[in-house]
Amino acid sequence: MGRLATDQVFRHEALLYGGPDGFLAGVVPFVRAGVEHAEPVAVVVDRAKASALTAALGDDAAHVRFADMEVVGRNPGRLISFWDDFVREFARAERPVRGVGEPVTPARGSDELVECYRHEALLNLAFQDCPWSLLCPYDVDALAADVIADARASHPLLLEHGAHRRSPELRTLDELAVPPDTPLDPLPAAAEVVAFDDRDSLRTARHAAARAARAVGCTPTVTNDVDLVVGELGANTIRHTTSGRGTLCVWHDAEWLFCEVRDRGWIGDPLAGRVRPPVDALNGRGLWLAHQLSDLLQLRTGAGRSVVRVRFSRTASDSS
Amino acid sequence: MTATTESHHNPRLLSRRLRSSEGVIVESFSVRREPGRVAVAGELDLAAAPQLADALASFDGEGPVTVDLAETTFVDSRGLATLVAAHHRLGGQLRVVNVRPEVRRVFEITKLDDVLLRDA
Repeated sequence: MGRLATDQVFRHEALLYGGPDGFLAGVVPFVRAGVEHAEPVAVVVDRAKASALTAALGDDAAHVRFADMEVVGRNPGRLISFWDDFVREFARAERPVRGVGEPVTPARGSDELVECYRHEALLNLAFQDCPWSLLCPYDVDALAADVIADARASHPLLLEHGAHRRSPELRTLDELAVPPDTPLDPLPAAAEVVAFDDRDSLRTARHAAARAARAVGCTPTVTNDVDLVVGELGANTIRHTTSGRGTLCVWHDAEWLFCEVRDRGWIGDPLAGRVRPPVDALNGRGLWLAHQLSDLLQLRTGAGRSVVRVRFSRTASDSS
Repeated sequence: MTATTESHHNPRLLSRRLRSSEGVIVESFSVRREPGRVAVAGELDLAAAPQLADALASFDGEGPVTVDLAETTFVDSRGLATLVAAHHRLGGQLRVVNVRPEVRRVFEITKLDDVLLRDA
């Protein structure tokens, strides 16, 4: 504790670049070095950048595993689980692995950017004893100054103008573990409120959420996800809080269905729900499932208070 | 728990009844135990998982056991944990069959499909 994140064997570096050419100038040599050393390489970026990178890499692109950030990281809270799967896949072979992940883009809303920073900060905790290399591109021409400041604070290493250096603004692991206190958008007056305090009333609550999902046009798959996620969040309230009482709020806007579960509990583990539980685990799947199935998960917790807000697309098709 | 009654007329059928929003008693979950087999109907959630656990516990030491989810419309993490725990106790001799598409998704995401799901 109190250790600087630069003491870790996990190499977590922010690439501070300008524009599409800067992206390729920084990422291509990093990927190519991995390919040349026969290291497994995964790249998680948006589709346009994946296309540009594929073209720039030529034959080397065949050795790179691409994943769509819009799918894998729509909710940035599931990215640590993705990278953990990737690293574990090659851990037994004791081969170094490397990744490129660009969760932070101008397409993200301010609420998403808060969760992206949370993800970047928690990567340092999740992989502190795990030797692999992750490069996180940030477009300094397109992103706000406070977003770049967060990148400097959450990455032990910076790659800027072709030079690697330690970030002087890096926060300690303890500081990086502190949960966000950015207020969530206020609940609209029209939100449906359902209190629950046992397993039967929770079932009523999750049915209400599923009904709302169907009513606003969510696909059958998304509706099932809403049902499951609300059930998991409520089950955590019932199983892990003293009173077992919680409140579900459900509302929507033009794009999203929102569900929020509030209770008097405190979620102390900053990595809760972000790492895939062992396949034979008997506990710990609930919050992880909520991260996997929602389009954004916002957790705010402190002494005697937890709020988990999740949102689901009203417009996504079941094929996406 | 006030709205529930246990079915006692058939000791092999553990059922759970709830009042629907219209006040009608509806069967929301049932577990039917047969030799080597358990058929689950309804929503296998936090409320229902203990009944499945009881049914599966009665097989201890006498696997293999097949869990038929043909009539199961919902499975949450407590339902999964109940199946995993029984799978351990039975030395891996538990298999889950007839999973509906909407329920298969949660097995796939958790990678429990490889561990538990088998063709009927």
